[in-house]
Amino acid sequence: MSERILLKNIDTTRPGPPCSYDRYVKGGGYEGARAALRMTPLEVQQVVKDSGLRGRGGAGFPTGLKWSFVPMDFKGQKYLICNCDEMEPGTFKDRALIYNDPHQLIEGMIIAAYAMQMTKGFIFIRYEYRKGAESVNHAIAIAEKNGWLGRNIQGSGFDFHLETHLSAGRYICGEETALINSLEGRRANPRSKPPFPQTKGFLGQPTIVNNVETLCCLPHILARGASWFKSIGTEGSSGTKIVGASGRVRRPGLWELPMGVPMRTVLEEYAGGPAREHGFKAVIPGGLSTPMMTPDQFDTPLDFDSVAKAGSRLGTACLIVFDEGDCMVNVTENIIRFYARESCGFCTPCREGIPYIHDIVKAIRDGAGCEGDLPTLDEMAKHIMHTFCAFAPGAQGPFLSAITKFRHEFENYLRAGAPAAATPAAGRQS
Amino acid sequence: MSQKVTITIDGRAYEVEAGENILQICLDRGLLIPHFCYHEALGPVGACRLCAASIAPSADKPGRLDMTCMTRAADGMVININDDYARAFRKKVIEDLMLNHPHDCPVCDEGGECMLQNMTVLSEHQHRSTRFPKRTWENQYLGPFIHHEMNRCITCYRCTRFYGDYALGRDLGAFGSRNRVYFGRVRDGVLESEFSGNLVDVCPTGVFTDKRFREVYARPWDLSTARSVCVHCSVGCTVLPGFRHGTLRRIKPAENSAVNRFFICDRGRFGGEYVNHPSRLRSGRLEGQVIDPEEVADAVIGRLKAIVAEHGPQSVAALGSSRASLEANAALGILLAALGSQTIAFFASDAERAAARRAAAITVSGQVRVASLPDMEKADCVFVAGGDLTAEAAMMDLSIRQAIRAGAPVFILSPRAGSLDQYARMSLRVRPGTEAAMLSQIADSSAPVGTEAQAFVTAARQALADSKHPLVLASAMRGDTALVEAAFEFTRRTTTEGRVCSLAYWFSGPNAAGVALANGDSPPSAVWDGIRDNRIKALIVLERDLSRDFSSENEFAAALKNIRFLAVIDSIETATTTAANAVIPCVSHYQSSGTFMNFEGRCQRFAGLHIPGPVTRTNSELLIRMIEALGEGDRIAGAEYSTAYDISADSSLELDALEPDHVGVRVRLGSHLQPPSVAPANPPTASSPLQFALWRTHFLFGSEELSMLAPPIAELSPKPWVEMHPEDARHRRLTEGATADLTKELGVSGPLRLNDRLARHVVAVPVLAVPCAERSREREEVMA
Repeated sequence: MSERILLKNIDTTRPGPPCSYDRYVKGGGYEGARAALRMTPLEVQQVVKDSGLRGRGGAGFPTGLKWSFVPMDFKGQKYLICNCDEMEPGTFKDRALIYNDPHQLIEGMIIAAYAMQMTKGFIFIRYEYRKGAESVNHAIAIAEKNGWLGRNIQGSGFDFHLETHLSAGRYICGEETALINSLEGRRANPRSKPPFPQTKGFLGQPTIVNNVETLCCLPHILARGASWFKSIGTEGSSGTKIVGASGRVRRPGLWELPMGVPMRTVLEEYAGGPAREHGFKAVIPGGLSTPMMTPDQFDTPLDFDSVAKAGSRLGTACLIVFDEGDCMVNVTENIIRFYARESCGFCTPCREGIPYIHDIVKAIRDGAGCEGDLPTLDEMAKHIMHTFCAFAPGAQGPFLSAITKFRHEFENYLRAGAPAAATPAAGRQS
Repeated sequence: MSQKVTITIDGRAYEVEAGENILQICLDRGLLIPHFCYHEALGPVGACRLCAASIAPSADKPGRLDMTCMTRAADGMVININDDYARAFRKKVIEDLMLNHPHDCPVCDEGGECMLQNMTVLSEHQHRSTRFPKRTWENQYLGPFIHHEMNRCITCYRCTRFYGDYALGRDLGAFGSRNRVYFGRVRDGVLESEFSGNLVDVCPTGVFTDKRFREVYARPWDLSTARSVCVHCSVGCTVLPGFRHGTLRRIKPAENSAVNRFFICDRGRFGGEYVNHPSRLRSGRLEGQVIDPEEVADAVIGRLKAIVAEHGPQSVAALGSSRASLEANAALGILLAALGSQTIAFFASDAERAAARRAAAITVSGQVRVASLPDMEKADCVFVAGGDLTAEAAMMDLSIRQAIRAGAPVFILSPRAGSLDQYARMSLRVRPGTEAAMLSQIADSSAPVGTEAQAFVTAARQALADSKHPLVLASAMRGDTALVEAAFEFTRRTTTEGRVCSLAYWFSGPNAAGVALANGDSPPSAVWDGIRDNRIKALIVLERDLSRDFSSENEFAAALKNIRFLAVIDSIETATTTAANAVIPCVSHYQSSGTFMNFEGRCQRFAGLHIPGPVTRTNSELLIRMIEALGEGDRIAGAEYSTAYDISADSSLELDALEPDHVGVRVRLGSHLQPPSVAPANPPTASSPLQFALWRTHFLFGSEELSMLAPPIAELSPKPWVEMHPEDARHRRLTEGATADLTKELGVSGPLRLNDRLARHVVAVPVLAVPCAERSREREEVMA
């Protein structure tokens, strides 16, 4: 295994207490923030730009570029928000980071806040992670006591106040503008862009929303330099990535690996191969909202550009793995049930279309499919691409790939009705 | 500065303003693109996804499906509405919406004016492929105005966007997610917003419908309609009353870009039902005898002639009305003149007359900028003084809410908090009559400030200093001339280089500004003193309940005691018609034609609908008949607006040519009324602060006499009470609910309510326009 950077204080194999302030500092903690505070904010931004860091929330947008849209001459309040809504099914990397090493996140936020001169920060935490929020709150208190948060951080003259916000728990809150609406106490509907949050975000003020893992990269980049970070990973995707695997693998878990590790290596070496007697059938690479990949694509390197070239998206790089024993009609029903439930209800094709898709897929699974259902599903897959935000296109990823790559399974259901032995995919039935 | 760009829509080039939204551009040019969530007043949000078209940034780039409402025009843009893919997509969006729509069109109240029906046809959707059950909802009780039918909802969010985002209401929201979004209240109950009726119009389907219209439903295409002007306050919203089979079925706003644009308040929408009230006058009465209306008119002329012959022409006087048209009031003046008298008055008191005349003269003087409703929306700092804007001029309040949404701070000076106060930056509770002094203090930064008002005045001065388009709104309906002058002075003083302050007054009735400009009227005291001194023997009253000008029935009866002959022209039974010797019934306002002058000096013509019934004559027609009966018909033929009212000759000509579908004309002052000059504001004659001052509180529902004849309005009107600040009540050892007897001090008594948003040392009572029939019923019950 390569060097653990973000996970160096974290044992991902068993639960334990979060890394203490003393242990964190002893391991070189807060050195990145110390280095940042010695630079000018624009110098810090330049380091991040040079490092090639790309957002770890799923979209892979260059972090330095995103930051550069924040007006630096703006005199009013600016906000930094950490997106820890991690509602993406099959994704649990941010969870490990906030439960086990909250100081690393705090340090990352100090650096980001300083780089954009944001004096107020929020960590937006998924409701189910409320125990993690407790460790973050505890760490915030300790950091404040040690002069890393609050007024005049380490005598630098820079103020940064940080607090956590426990989400009410909707998938859409992970969308940055919906997150901002939710944080403002409004319905978590996405906002139209432009204006982008960088200029008009939380309470109409310039705001940056970054993922936990993105922010956790910052202390190391600042402490060890942009070129060190760029030397890890691939040309287009620098640094390490916390990769996960769940589903039909022998050892589900999280591993910090350089960007560009082949998917097969993760599946076979780290996750220990198939969990059952069946061979692998499909992988959804980046949480749920990315198109399925089949075994012929398993040599794809796990970095943003390679996975995109293979027709999917790296997303969160937390692989959901299916084997030949899994019924893809059931899987699809399960997936689309999730999206139908989580649609915020704002725009028509998503609000009405995805539940309609679910009705059809469920009917097929229950042996009540009709001739014409598959063409309707094909049509709906196109239709839900013209929605207000990226939620429905996210749903379309696994859905369209399932009805395309595993069409024969759907056709079998339509021909023969529901096979008696069909095992429902994991999850609650609706 | 707007920049013109050229875009191509379906192969044709159009020159449009850069940045304008494509959907509105298309709609304005008659290029129909189906849409739901977009509304001109509410703006684009991109929720329904129906207005999709193929849009390319330039001719050499491929078109992409995008929402026209969310796209702003840029030079060279190419839009294809009829693109095959876009057409198929729009069709599919309608199919999406139909998945859960109940298809109850044959029995739906929205039928015939349903946006969903129209958009379905426009989108060419015909066949649904779904075979799954539809979602169903339970409906809520939302009060006497609005019926709720959630199954029809297509989740366009227009309702919450109007109610919450636009009108700032807090009790209607969106609940739930996915295809189970519910629009309603947390629990059943009367909708709190004064503008809730607009849900009926903004909802594209039949989720929110007019509850009263449902009771007397007619298909919209069967309604007889004609543009009219709302009769319930001085704002003068354009409305569209709908009649069927002799009864009024409903009122909708009519679009008027210069006044109310798209919306009206709930009093305007639901108050018109007074037209159907059983106590409407349906026959003439002469000394208790029921006779034909025209016969009464003729008999009245006979009696008046006899009185003039016996006592001289000065023994006849007339009282005009702020709810009758310019023409009817002018005709009343001509009738009086034909009899040889000049004593005509229009207001309840000399003070109200003085304030209204001054305010009206300033308004049409051209010396200051007077704000229309659309102007008010653009104000960047607002001062409201002297009353409850929501209750007394509701649509002004809705315009101010738009200014608030755009960030304008609002400062309110009034004795008692109203609905607008919850959105104000700051409110100052003041003793009635001291608003003028406070307003002057804000405008004059060198003036000393009392400690109590320190924070308010400092904040108001700062906001004023930061503003470019401040606005002052002041009441001209309470007889506070000092306030009228102070607002004028404020406007002139604060209009400096780089800042234009505008002004608007609100008045006591739909044509109060008009009658305030009447030439040669008398103060009301001239009439009442004349009656008391037996100089005036006969009184002709036009559409006015005089009992409302007196604080008790006894006083009213005493004032009328000496009158030998009282003739009343009205459409409703009032305490005055009950006391009259002769009652000449006219048709209701919505059946009359005429002209009202609103708060901004805008004259709007309304076209009456001729509805068959026992009464067919308008007030003007009856008055003209009476003038002709005197053989003085030439006076009518030679009448000019500028003779009857102090407006310029040009304005008079404009009024001659005014049509009912016109946005109205703003008149200019003639030369009779004293031209406005800055008069020193009279120092308020403040009574000793230890004494209680009385504040008569106006309510949107309850204080206006016509709308109180509409059952849903009456249902929401307050009960009589006496209100005090909790501290004042504590000093007097009074508790909530106890009888507060202030008969000696202020002439009021009733059950006490505590209100900590009332000024100290002020007692508030509601102004209640209890219908005459109800009052007599209550009296009978008491006597029984």
